[in-house]
Amino acid sequence: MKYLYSCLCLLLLASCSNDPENLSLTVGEEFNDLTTRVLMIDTLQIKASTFKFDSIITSNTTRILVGSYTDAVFGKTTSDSYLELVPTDGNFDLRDDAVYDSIALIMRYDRYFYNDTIPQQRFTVHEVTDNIRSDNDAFYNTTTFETNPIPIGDVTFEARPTKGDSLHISLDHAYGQLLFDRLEDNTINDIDDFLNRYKGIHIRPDTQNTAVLGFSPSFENTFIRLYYTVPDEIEDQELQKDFSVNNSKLFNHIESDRAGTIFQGLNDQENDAISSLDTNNKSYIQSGTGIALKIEVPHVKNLFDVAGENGVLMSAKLRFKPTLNSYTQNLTIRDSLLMFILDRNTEVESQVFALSGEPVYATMEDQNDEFNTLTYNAPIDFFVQTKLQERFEQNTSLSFYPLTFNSSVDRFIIDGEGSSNSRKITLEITYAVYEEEE
Amino acid sequence: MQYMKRKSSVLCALVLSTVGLYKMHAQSGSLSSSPYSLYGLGVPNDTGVGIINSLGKLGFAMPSLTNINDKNPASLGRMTQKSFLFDVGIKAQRETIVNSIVEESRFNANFSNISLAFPISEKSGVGISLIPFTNVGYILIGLENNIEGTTDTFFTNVNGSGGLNDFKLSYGYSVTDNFRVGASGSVLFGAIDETETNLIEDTALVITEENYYSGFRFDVGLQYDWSERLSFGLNMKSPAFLNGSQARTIETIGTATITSREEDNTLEDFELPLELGFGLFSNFLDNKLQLNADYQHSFWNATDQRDYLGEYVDQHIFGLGLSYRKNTRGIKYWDRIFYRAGFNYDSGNLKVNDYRVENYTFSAGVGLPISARTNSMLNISYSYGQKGRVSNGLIQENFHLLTINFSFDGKWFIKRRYD
Repeated sequence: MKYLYSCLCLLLLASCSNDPENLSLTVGEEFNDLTTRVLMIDTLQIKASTFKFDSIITSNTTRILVGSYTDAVFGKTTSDSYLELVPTDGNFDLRDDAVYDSIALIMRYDRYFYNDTIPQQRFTVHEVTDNIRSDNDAFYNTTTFETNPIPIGDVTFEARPTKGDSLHISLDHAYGQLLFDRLEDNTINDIDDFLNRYKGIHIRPDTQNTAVLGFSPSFENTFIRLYYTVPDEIEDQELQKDFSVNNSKLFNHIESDRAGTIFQGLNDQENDAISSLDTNNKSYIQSGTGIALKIEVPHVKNLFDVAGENGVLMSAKLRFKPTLNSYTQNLTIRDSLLMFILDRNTEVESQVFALSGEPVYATMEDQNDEFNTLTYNAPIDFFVQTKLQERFEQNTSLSFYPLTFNSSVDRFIIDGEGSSNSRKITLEITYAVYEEEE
Repeated sequence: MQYMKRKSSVLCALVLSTVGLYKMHAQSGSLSSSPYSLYGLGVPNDTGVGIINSLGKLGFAMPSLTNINDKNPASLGRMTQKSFLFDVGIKAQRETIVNSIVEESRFNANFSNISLAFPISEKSGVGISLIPFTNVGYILIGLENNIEGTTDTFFTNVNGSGGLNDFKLSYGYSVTDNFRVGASGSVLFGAIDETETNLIEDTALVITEENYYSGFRFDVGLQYDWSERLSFGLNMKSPAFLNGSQARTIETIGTATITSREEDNTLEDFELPLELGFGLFSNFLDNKLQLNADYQHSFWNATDQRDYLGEYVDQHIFGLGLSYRKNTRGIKYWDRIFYRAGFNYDSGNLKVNDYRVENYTFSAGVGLPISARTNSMLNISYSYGQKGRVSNGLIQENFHLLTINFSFDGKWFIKRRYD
């Protein structure tokens, strides 16, 4: 009898097993009342336009951006840099027996460059005569300060931005000697004494330059170096004192001369936008100067007319293409663009982040440009979802620009909604309807 | 020693019933594996209590002497005095499901019932049972549909599970020595869950429905003994309405924005029809051979219900059973074994494409005595059956069903002189 019980207990346990290996079970399909439909909708209207930020913050940057170039579309673009320097070691003493030798500004390339670096470039270095200061500690691409028009440094050079080199700019001897004397005779004893006399420098490009170059502002890469000697037993000892960049007082002033360009009329962020239909079916982005792409999907709720409200947004993919031949080896574009939501006044309301907390990017779908198929793909689910849930139309729109929007002069030309079918901006919405409306 | 043995058997029964209940819970996801359970409230459970599974599944005229007859409450009027009947069952089913294109195999195993009955006087008895009323268990994987506006497709997996339970309290009374009446009340309750997962590119839309139903049904019956050898039984189940409510969630997975909606809906009442059953039960060869023959008619037409799949039509069920035991008090164990055979035909209550989904079942079983002194039995039944057909857009299910019932007959109130 016991044997019987144990047999049955075993059977009971065995009956728990199930058959998980059936990967396709379709018998009975015709009995099911599945009503879920999935639709791909690509007929919503899209409007692309170009607008210009009144100003963008260029302080708190990791790049000293100096240069200038002229572009057939964007006109002349110039970036010059303001920065405050402080002694790297925080020390304002020099030995009494020290002897001044020379002074130079040394800046290490951070490998960023834009346009043609083959022709010779020229920079001049000027003393800033204003305090580099602002009410909110931020400086903008439009900010300028008074400078001494007579340069303390002037260099013409061949740019080698990608070789890991530094640019060496010899500065005026009188300037160096005076700084040396003030330190040695204790005219300057502390930071206040120093900043009262040395408010900063301004590095600016010559108008004939053909490239914009980036330099690293970190203390080991960029500094003013004061060379001096002190007597030693056998021969003089060569010493140096470095003044490095105060990162909170560094910004790039970036502007373009838009006269005669299609951006001529972009003066007011809130009101001036040029439809891509008015600019040869193209829209534009230029970092540094604040020219940006704006994309509107004015009638998102039309989705409900097509598919009903008992549905769920599964995906919304916005695709746009950089105009053919608008990007070259020298005029590079980025493979990802950040996504922002603009409010009705074309002010940035928020950057778009994924649920994971990562920023959402418009990314280049296919890096291979052999067939001119470079396309940005932007998941704009959040934007579409928000608009679907809006009670009243908020007139929000999307903007895309690169991570380096504040610290570069990268430019992008995007084919707009009026381009040919294979080139135009598209929006593909996948929408699942789980219940037909009655 | 005897005491020990008894104690161990009670313990074992408890363990098994606990396991059974646990399994009822754990396996509620696979009470059935029939595509037909997509229909209505699922496949009606036709597995019964005790010996009936191998005797044609009906049995309106059968007594509740040593086994609980759950089919007619009047049987409780004729119980062995001072007995205490307890029955717990499990079942396992392997099915082959065939349509005109594919053949698939599915397996499920489950709790089938827990019941007890005892006399409360010389003339009356009560019974309590918990039996699945309907079973839902379907799984559809990889259904492919077009994404409208593209040439791409999406895939759907559907998984249905659950079912309704019947918790029944029955009472039977002997009006005379050969005429008994009985009544029972059933609380029908349960949930049917359906999960639909749509795999759309690299995202998923999951729709989960929990459909709750509940209702009350009563049942009256009578049994009449024509002679020592022949009894008749009659049973009527009332029509009933089951109220339904639904909790539905709609969720997305893998999408850039998460949608999660919860809805509460009211479902249409489901109507159960009037059911009439008639049966006879007969003894031959000094009670060695027993025969039961039964018919049940369910008046589904009157409910006027339809489903997306088809319509409900009047249902006819015939059951036939034969039981043989050589010698009740036989010395040899083999002599005390019951041998049983049964047949059941069920016209089905479902008409799809103008064809009924019919069901034939042949059963064979044995009743193995657990001890020489009591009537406790281990009733094992094997059935083979066919449901539906391959043609006419139906599905044919060929199934092997094994049911095992522990039918305990405890003489609880007898004080033994020797133990």
